[in-house]
Amino acid sequence: MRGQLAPYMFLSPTLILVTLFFFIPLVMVFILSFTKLDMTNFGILEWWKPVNWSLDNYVKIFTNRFLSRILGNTIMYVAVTLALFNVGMALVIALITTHIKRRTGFAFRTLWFLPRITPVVVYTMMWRALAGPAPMGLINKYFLVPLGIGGGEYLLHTHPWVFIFLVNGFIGASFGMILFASAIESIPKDYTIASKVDGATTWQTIRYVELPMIKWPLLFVTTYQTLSLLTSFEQIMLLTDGGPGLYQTEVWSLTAYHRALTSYFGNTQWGYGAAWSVVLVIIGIVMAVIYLRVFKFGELVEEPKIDQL
Amino acid sequence: MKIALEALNKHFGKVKAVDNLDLEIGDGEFVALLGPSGCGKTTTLLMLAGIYKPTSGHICFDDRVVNHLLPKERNIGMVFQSYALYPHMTTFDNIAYPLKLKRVRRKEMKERVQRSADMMGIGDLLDRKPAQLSGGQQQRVALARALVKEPAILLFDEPLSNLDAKLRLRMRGEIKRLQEDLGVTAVYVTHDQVEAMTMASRIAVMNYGVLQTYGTPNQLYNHPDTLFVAGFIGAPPMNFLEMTFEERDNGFYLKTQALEIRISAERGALAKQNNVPQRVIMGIRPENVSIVAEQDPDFKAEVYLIEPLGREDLVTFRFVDEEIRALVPAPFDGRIGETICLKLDKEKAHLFNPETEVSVLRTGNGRSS
Repeated sequence: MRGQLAPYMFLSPTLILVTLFFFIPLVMVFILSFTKLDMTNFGILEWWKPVNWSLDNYVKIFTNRFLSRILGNTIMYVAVTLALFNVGMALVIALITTHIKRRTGFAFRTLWFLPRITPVVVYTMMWRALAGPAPMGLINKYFLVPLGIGGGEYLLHTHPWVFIFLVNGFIGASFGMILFASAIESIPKDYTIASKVDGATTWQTIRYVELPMIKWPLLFVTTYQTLSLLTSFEQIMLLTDGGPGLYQTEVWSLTAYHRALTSYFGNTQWGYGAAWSVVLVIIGIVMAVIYLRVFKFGELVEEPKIDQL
Repeated sequence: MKIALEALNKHFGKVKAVDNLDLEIGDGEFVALLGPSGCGKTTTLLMLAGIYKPTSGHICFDDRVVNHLLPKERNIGMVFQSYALYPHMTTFDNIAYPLKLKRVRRKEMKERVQRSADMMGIGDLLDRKPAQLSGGQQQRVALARALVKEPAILLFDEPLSNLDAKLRLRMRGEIKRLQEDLGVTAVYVTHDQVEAMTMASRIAVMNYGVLQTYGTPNQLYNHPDTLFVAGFIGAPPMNFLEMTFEERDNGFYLKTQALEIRISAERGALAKQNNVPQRVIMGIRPENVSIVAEQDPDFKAEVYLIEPLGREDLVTFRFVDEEIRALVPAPFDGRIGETICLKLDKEKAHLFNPETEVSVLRTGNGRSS
């Protein structure tokens, strides 16, 4: 009995933490999403009683006249950041830094890691300073105005999306970069030598031999980063807070935050915000399942079949 | 295609992986690069393939310097110890890969892949992935892939090391026969001297990046130039005894505390001509040590270890501080601890200068007799 108990004892710290801070909140958010709990009825509304549950919040979401804009923003934000940076740029940096001298490659990858290890507020504020209007904003002062390209306007007002992509992409790229680079470096040298002797150029070797061999990290990074981008809003909040126009850069997760946790314009609607979150979680799960299908995850983990030695 | 390496060097930082290598390989010849791991043989092969750039020196294919040519421009087929089959491609795609890169038309590609696969006896495995093939089958796919583009040169990097003993013997024969049939120039890297002896027409022995000797298997076995070659070639390995070289009473003698042997005047004179030092290393192969009856033994020694090999027994003898091994007809009927009379075949003894490690029985043309 003691022997059987021991493994659970070792697991218990994590189990308790995960239960307290993940599973219970998850269930609570799900229940809350069916209620009208907000700051005005807090302590009065018995939200845990099914009699107070309804689909009203969901109806409200799907009849919201800004829904299509928020959904469109979210898709654009995730797709562009993912394609250009979190997977695209990550793969390009990983390929370049693994096909040059090892040390130089390592140094470059370290540089690319800086945005990730800088505190997010400091990092985002730095970008706001870069984008500032002339004569304070560095981009305006040193590039756009001297080159006569722009009139020195606040770039976050004129091109908010460009900065949202850049700010998120520069952080996001390093994750894929590290995974791809280590996956590429762990490909046995014989394969690339064989490919070159077989008559391939470096590019053909990458295309036909190296990329297919890092299919698993590619799937993982794409899936993981899609989900992580879907739920990330802190950089957008700090950069534009969904503006500068009405809902111009508001994404789904930021809406959930605004509805649930900001306290102006009659917000702090915990139930309504929870409903936005629940829809986002469902979108995330659907996306993950689609990825696993598209990448034929089942085949990747198939057992080898050897019938004769 | 003829291959010539001229003063070829490859340095990695301070390490001289290949040190001033000169080597000529004739058209259609099968040459083995033999040496212990880290001796520079694989580095040499990768320079031939165009993967490594030589630090200095020339690589010539048919009198044309190819140093600057990319691997794809060299028309080479290569087989690896790890097989290096692309795991995500089927057998067909693996073999077709060199043709795909050459943009060979689909129909011709299919025919050529089928032909190479049939030649290697894997024609019915074309739709399998490498993970679904056995080691031997993978090796055949790797060979088919190397052959499909009809290369001018075939390079082998220890291709049989991952196979089990029986399969290795069979593939050894098959590769040798295949190379003869195709008449393609082949360079074969191995650390296994039996493989080198059985397959190659000439063997280049390397150590510490330096070419030790280059010759036919018979020359290397019967007339090794250096102590390293003498010790490396042959299984079980040659015995070495440190001895004193003496000339007296019109005869030449080799002495240790326990034994004295007289060598022929001819060989003695040759050694003397090559400035034989007083202390020499005498090498003798186990098959040249024989057991004799009481009369006229060279020396007596005690049986220390008996290792039956089936056809013969390998017996280790000890005398004074020395040890010597002999291949004797099986079954050997001596017992451990028993004292036995031994005789050496003096005409088969090799003598080396312990300082230079070079044979002192070399004749004028550099080859030891």
